[in-house]
Amino acid sequence: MSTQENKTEKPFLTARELCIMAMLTVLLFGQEQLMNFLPNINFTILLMVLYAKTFGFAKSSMMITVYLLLDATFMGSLNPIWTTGQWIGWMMIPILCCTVFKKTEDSLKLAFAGALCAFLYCWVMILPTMWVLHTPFKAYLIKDIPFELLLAASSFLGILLLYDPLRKLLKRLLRMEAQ
Amino acid sequence: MKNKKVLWAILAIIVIAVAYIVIAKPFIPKGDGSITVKVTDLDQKLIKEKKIVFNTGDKLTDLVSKNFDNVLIKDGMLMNIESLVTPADWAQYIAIWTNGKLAEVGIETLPYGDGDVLEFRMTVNEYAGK
Repeated sequence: MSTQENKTEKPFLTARELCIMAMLTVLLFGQEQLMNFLPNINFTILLMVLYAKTFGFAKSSMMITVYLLLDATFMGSLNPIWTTGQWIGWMMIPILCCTVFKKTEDSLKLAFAGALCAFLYCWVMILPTMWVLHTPFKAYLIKDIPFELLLAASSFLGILLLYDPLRKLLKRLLRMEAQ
Repeated sequence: MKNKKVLWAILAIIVIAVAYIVIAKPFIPKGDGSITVKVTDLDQKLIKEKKIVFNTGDKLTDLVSKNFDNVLIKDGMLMNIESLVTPADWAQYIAIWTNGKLAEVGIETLPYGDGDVLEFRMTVNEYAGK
């Protein structure tokens, strides 16, 4: 009986799911590079929220980690202090989405959650930035406010307008796999 | 609910626009171009250096007069600027250099463009007293 159960048990990660996750990680990296000419305006938080809500904590954490390593290597910012700070900042998203906002599906509430995550990420990054770039705390805190607002507002807007259609699309894509 | 979302979306767009303007403002050029003007003494020691923003049609003499002290332009020639003073016997004079080359015309007719480096250099007049 137990052998039969083991045989039918769904694996943690199927090959197709792994391919989809890889493509979505590339999408996460690609959109950020494409929107690099705009300061802090991107869909990074929207996609991270979407991935965390769709794939759960473990899988979305894997995607975020791969994205971060790819981004840091490509941008030349791979640094133990800086990259660790970024990882902690980005990991706030799957942590919050899979705990506090686990049952939340309303795009407006998730948009506020995205804005909160944007501020948390920026605040987490204060310490590594001060450490690596020797930036004075007060000056950095003041100068960073418009950048924080841009990241929070663009994430808010992205989630508000695109979360529902993207969630439906992703669910359909994953349902196709189940069939 | 939909109206609420539209209102929040409009508010987010306003926040993005305001924050973007605040960030981009220092990078927006105020004029049509800028020139760097240096004033150097006989030993080519820098007395003052200034980046001056100009609009098309601005006269160089006006730009220099507005941005430097003790400017005296007489008969189309720059006589004094900052601590440089042309002596009465013309033993020294203020030469104008444009992008490292000695200018062939005076300050009133000297052409200039964006990114140019002008230098007002105190120079010994080799022909004085001859």
